[in-house]
Amino acid sequence: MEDEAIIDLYFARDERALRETEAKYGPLCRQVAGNILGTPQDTEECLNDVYLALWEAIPPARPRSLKAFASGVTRRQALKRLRHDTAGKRSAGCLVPLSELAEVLPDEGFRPDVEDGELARLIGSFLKKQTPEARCVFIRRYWYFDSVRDIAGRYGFSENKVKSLLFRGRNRLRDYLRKEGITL
Amino acid sequence: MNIPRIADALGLIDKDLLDDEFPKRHRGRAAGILLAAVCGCLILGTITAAATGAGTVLLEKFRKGDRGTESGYDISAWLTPFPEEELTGEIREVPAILRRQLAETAPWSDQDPHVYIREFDTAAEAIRFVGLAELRPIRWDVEETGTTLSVFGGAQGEIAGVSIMTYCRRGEVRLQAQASLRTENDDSDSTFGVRTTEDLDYTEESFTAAGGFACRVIRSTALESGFAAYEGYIVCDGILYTLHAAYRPSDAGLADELLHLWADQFEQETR
Repeated sequence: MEDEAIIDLYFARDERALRETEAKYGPLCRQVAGNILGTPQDTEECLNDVYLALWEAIPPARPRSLKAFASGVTRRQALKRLRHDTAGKRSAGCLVPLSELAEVLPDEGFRPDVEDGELARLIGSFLKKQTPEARCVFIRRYWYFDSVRDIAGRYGFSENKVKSLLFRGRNRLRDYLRKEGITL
Repeated sequence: MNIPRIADALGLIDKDLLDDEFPKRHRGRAAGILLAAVCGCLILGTITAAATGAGTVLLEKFRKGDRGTESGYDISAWLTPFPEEELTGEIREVPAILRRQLAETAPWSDQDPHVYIREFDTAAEAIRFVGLAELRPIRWDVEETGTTLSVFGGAQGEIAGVSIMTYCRRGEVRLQAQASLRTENDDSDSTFGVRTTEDLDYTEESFTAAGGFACRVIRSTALESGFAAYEGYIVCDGILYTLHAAYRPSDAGLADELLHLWADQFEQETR
């Protein structure tokens, strides 16, 4: 079913919207949640939260891309769960990319008067100036939290090449944010 | 668990970026593109990134008879895949030359059409020719006797790697200082190796140079000619710098002094 038709189901408050969303984007959302949370049980619980959040968000939201919207909601929900994981029982899958991001801009170096939305705009602007290779690898790693091995397989690169692209991308982003005055 | 704010902010980027893709590349390019001769009996293989952080790692060393008719070792270095557009010097004219070579070189020719070679009087001239900001000139009081620039091209003539080899000497110590870089056009899974048909053994050591960079040193036992040799490796700003020295045992002290002189020229954040 086309995205537009699925979104119409949401607007009509027809629960088939959820089934169609799950059929079309369930695997993607499961992958995103799984990359972040690690365990199947946490992933399934997170997906339940995702579908509820989608049901509550549409309407009023009418996303241009249901794929991006659903995966974005999944990412937020999964990070929210991870944030509240005080027992530290999660898989370490996303811990490395999170620590790599923290090296780019640690919270204590983040100018407090800058909103997340403003930072997102700058990061987006930075990514648009990168080569397609560097941009896609960066997004797969830090948006989808894919493993280096998965990224290498996806694009036909060696794992070393992926690591190189990420290393250089982080350094450039760090410099860019510094120049833009985001870093204290 | 503590999740950095930047991770949350990244989730808010323009969603159009999430759909950005490019065609999967099929690997299979023949093993190395950053080839450069070190001396008559040694061959440098190819270079790759291998580990996190700056530096190098010795993967394997072997003696003649261990697995064939050569002694040698393989080393990996963490190199930055520079975008080709960051090479801003006259080197930008090289892809057209490489494309012409690829089109015109006969299959039976001895010339490798993927390689462009040019001689310079000094390393500084070669560095200007490349025009990459990260590339560092050699600043030491050693007589240069010539520089060979090699540009390694891909299947379409795109620049995949560059090697600048500068020949120097101090007294009877013969030196070859090399800078090797790769571009994003090089996705080969390659290693950097030294080979010789002589039966040599290798020892590994490392030290921290004055600028804070780790220098890995691989020394070989003496060649049949009586010359001993070492290679020093430093990765700086994503570029691999190598110093090869061949010297008589009586010049070992001078050779070591030159190694440290070379390594100490690399400084952190100099630009």
